[in-house]
Amino acid sequence: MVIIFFMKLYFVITVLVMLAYAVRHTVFTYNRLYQPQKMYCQDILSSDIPFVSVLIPMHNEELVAHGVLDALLRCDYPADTEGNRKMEIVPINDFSEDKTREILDTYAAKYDCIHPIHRYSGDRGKPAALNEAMKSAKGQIIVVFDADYIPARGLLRELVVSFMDPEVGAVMGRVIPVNTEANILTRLLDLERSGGYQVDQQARYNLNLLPQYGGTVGGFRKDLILATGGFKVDILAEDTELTYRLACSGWKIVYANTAECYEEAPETWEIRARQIRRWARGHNEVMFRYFGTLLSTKYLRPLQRIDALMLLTIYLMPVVLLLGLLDSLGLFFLGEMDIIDGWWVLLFIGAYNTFGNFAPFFEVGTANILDASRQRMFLLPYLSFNFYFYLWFITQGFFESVVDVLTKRKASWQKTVRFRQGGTGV
Amino acid sequence: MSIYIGLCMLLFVLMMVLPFVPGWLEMRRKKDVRHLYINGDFVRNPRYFSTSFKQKLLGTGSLSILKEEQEVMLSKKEILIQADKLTAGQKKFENLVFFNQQPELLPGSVFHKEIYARQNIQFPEETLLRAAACEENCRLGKSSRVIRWIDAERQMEIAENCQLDLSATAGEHLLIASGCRFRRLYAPMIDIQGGASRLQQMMEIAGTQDGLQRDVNHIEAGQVLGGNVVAKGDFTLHEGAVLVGSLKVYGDLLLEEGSQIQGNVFGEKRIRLLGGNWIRGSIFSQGRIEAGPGCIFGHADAVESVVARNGIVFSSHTTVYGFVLTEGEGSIL
Repeated sequence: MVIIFFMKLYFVITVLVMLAYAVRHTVFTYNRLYQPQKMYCQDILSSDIPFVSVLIPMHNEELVAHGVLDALLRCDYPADTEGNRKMEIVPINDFSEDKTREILDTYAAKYDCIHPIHRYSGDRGKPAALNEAMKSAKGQIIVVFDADYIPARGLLRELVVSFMDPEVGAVMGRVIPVNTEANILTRLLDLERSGGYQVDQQARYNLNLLPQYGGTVGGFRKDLILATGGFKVDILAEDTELTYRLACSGWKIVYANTAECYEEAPETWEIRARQIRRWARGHNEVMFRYFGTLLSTKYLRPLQRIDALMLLTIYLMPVVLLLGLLDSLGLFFLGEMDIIDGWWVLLFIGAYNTFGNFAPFFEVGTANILDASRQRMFLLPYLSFNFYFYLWFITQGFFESVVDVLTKRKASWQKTVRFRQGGTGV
Repeated sequence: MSIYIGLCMLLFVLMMVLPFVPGWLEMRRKKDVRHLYINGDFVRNPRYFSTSFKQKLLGTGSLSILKEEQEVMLSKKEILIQADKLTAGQKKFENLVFFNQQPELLPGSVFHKEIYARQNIQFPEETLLRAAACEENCRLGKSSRVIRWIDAERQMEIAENCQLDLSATAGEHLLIASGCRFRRLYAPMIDIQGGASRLQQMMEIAGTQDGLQRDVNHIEAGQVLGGNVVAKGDFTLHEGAVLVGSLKVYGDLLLEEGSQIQGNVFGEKRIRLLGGNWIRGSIFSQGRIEAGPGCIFGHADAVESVVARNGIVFSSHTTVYGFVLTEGEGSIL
C-alpha cells in the first residue's frame, strides 16, 4: 500500500511539474505574440567601442578554419591598423592533428590582428582552451565562436554594444542552422533552434528573466571569469555554468536576437544523440552545483529565481517524465489508476499535452510565424519523434552526471563532428 | 458490429496519420527547405535610406543629368524627371525628381516620389515630400512633412513644426527647431533649437570607474561619485552631482539641474533631465526620455545615442552628438 501511495504521489507530482513547464512555455509564447517587446540596446550607435578578443577554440578544424577567419576579417570592427585596432582574433589550436596549425600560422603571418595559440599540453577541451587564451587576450570583452560559425559583418558590434550596460556580464546571439537542406534531422533541429531563440530566449529577455549564454555567438567580461577562477575544466557545459555563475553573483545575461549567426547542425542521429547526451550530462552537473546557490542568492527576484530553477532543471525533466511514464504503466497494470476523477482529469490531459507535445510546439510555431517561414511549420508533428529520442539520451546523460558527481569522475571533452567540406555553407 | 469496429480503427489510424501528412508533403516538395536568411553584409548605418537610394540611382552609371525624362530602376522601374526648368506654378510632382541646380519651389509643394538634389535645396513651408537626398545643404520649411526620410550630405536645417515620419539625417550638422516631431535623427552634431551653449561644454571630472555599486539610490548635490552603479529602484542625481561611470536604473531616473553622468545610462523606465545636464556616453531607456533645456548628449568627435522605446522629448538649446531613435514619438518643445 505504501508503495502504491508513493507511486500515485510521484504521478501527481509529475503532472504538476509538467503543467508548470506548460505554463512557462505558454507565457513565453504569449509574450512574443501579444505583449510589448523590449527595445534592443543593439539600436545604440556608439563610436566608443571596447577592445574585443575573439576566441575560436579549434580541434582538427582544417575544413572550416578558413571560413570563420575570413568572415571575422570582414567584420565591421576596427582591426586593420595598429593605432585604430579594436579587435584581435585568437584561434586556439587545441591538440589538432590535421592542418589546422599550418592554416592558423599562414593567417597570422598575413594579418597582424590574428594571434593563434597552439596547445599540445595540459587539459584538453574548450574550457581549458578558453582559460589559456584569456590569460593573454588583450580585450576586456571576450567573444567566442565555434570554428564552424560564419559571423556576419555587423555581428561583433551587435554583441559588444550590450556591454555598455554596466550590469551586463554576458551576451548571447541567435544561432541559425545553415544545413537545413541536408535531411529531416537538420530540418527538425532548425525548428527547435527557432523556438529556442526566437521565442524562448527573447521572451526571457523581455520579461527580465534569465536568458542563457550558449557558449558561442556570445561574449562575456573577461575579468569576471578570471576573477572566479576561469572556466571549470571538469564541466562539460561551461556555457550553462557561466550563466549561473553570473546570475548568482548579480550580473545580467542579455539576449541579442538581431545578432544572428549560422551554425552547422548535426546531420546524423548518432551524432545528435552524442551531443544531446553530452549537453544533458553537462547541464545536470551544473544543476547539482548551483541548485543550492540559486535558492540562496540575493540577486534574483522571486520570478527570476523560479524561471532560473526551471531552466536549471530542464534536462532533469525528461528523466522525471520517463519515470512518470513507467510509474503510470505500473499503476495501470496494478489497477490503481483511479487517482482522481471529475474535472481534475483535465489536469492530466493538460500534463500529457505539455512537455512532450504541445508546449514546445507553441514556441516553435510562433517562431516560424515571427520568422515568416510558414511551410516548415508543417513539420511540427515530427518533433514528437525527437521527443522520445531525447527522452532516452537525456536520461542517459543525467545518470552519467550523477556518476560524475558521486565518483568525482572527470568528464572528457568531445568535439561535435563537422559535415561541411570547406566553404561557408551559405 | 465489426463494421463499427473497422470504422473506429480507420478513424483512429487517420487521426494518427493525418497530422503528419502536410509535413510529409513539405519534405517531398521542399518549398521551405532553405535556411533562414541572414544578411551577411548587414552593418548599422543611420543614413542607410539615402545611401541605398543613391547607390541604386547613381550606382549603375546610367543616369544622365541632361535628359529631361528617363527610366531608372529602383525596386521597380520609375520615371525620373529632371526638374531644373520647372513649369511655372507647378506644385505637384508625381514621379522621381532630379534637381541638378538649386530650384525655386513653391510653398505647399507635394512630391509623391523620391527627390535627388545635386546642390543645395530649400523646401518652402508646408511642403509634403516622400523622401529626399541632397548632396549639399538642405532646408525644410516650417510645417512641412517628410513621409519617409530626408538626408543632406552636409547640413540639414529643419524649421518649426515639421513632421518627420521616419528619419532625418545629415553628414555634418543637423539643426532642428521647436514643434518638430521625429522618430530617428542622425548627424555628427544635432543642434536642437539653437543647440547647447558651447561655453557650458563638458568638463570631465577625474574619478575612478572601477567596481559596481548596488546600494546607492541618489548622489547628493554637488557630490562626485566614481564607479558604475546599478539601482534596483528610482535614482536621483541632485543638483550639480556627477557620476563618473555608467548607470543602470530599474526605476525612474531623475537628473536635477546641472548634474552629469560621464558614462552610459540604461533605464528600464522614465528618464527625466531637468536641464543643463550632460550625458557623456549613450542613453537608453525602455520607457521615455524627457530632457529639459540646455542638455548635451555625447561629446564632440564621437557618435553616441539617445534611444527610448516610448518616446523622447527635447527642449531648447540641446545638442546631441550622434543618433536619436524612438519607437514612440519624438518631439521638440
